[in-house]
Amino acid sequence: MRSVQIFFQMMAANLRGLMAFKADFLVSFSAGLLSQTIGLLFLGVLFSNISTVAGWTVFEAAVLYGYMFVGEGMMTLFFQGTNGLWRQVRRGEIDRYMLRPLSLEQQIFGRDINLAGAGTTMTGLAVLGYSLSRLNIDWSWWRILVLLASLILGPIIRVNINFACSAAVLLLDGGGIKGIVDDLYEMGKYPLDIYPKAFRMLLLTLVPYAAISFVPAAVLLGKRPVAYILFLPAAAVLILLLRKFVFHKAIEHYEGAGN
Amino acid sequence: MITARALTKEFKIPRKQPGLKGAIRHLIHGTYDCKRAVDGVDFSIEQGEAVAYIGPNGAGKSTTIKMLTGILRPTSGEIRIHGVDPQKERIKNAKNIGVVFGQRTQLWWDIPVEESFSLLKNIYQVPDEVYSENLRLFQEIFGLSEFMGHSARKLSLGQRMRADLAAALLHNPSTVFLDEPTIGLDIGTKEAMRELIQKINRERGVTIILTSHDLRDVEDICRRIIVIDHGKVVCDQEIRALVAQYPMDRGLQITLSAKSPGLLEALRAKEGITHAAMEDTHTLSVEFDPNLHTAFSLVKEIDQSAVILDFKLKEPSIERMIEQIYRSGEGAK
Repeated sequence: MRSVQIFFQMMAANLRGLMAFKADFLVSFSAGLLSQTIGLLFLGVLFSNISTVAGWTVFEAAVLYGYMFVGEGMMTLFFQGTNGLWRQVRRGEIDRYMLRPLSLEQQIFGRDINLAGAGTTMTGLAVLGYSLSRLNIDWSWWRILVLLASLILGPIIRVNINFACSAAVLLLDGGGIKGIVDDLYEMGKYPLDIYPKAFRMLLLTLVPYAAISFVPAAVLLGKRPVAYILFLPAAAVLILLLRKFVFHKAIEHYEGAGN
Repeated sequence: MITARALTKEFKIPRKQPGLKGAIRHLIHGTYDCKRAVDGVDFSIEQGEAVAYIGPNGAGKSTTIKMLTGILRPTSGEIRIHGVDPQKERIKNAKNIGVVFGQRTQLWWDIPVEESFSLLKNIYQVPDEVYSENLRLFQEIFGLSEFMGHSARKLSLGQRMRADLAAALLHNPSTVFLDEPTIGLDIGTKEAMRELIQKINRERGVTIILTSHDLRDVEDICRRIIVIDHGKVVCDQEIRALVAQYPMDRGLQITLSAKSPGLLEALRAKEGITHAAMEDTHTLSVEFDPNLHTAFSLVKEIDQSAVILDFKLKEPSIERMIEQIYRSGEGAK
């Protein structure tokens, strides 16, 4: 409980630190809105030429975008510290974390916030809300449950993918893996059915971007049976364990080699 | 009590040939140099001691400090700080120690010092009365209040180091590690830093482990000195005993109008001259046994073969003593 309290205190301090730069505050926020709007423009152009992609209409595909934006936005807003672990190593920040009586994860999670994430999250929620409202969904109790669970687990999955990837860069002393995982992120914005089987498996398990967007969307829209939703908690648990393992290895490597 | 037993740290350094070809070759068939930064270090430090851990650049000082504070894992050997293994029980150890790295701040960069302190108060669970008592002490010696409201990024180096030292002491650690705490500071700030360190050592019995290239820090704060060179302890003694043991040679620094051929060789051939070298083209440095020579007799002698523009006597100091320790270490290899 105390560690949660310290986490929030760190967050509040980060926010106050941000407020000191008023112009930057506003620019970041609008940048978040703007960059996702550009993404949506691309979706619009795509669907102006073809009516469906793998049987998904423009609003159905927009649900996938909405989910991905919310995950991305929440991560950027609250857990920016999971990005660029190697940069924190270069600056000696990891050394500083190790001198404090807190877990390293907690300090990395609480390191930084970025207002661009607020813009992205808001865009994501707006796109998701509007698209779902245009799709005549029958909001039974289990659909509401699926929506809530996906909005909570999605960002958790997103953060852990990013954190695992960031830790892998540290472990392997190289950034190659980050480029691959970032490219896979874009694939989460489209129906899984358009990809070859190997990619579908990858996006559901090891790098579960599809669990953030496609899994809940397909269940909500009736494109997959309800039981398909189990991929969501399963992927969350798997990526959490994977992240813990990779991070543990990365820190072991760091303690051996220093910076 | 702090103990290190057969403490060793090796680093693997990739050996790369220059250019793209070298980089590719390294990728396929990497070769590594093994560097032993700390090599079988042993020591034991009692609670309340103030110990200087010194040595030339690259001797292994910072690597040792990083192992003692739990940042680096030893390759072999054992460390206990109040019975705790700092690497295996990092969080438990962190509660007991305070650390200042002169080159890097421990403060949050973007928030006011005041808020950094109150975050630390919560993280270390410092009781209110301890916190306010400590702030009062730091204020008295450091005058922190003038910049408590500023963020760390806005502080001058002197202010930042004062804030950093205060931050490391907020939770009343029983051991404090100071790695180059006065580097780059002006005399006034250095003295304030030393005063606070001395005070917590003498009045509160806090163990101090200090690395510094400024030997005034060592003389003012520490009573014991551990000298490390090439990763090995070459000397571990009370400073007082060390001074008595090293019958200090006197030193002369002589400025010549021109380089005088044969002079160095002639000096070195004499009995009782322990060191003779040109510091630069015009400056001759000589050390001698005061029982066999006097400064006056040496100056007179050198004056016969060279033109002396100026000379000064070098006082025996810890600095010269340590120079001698390093030099004898070099000779032993």
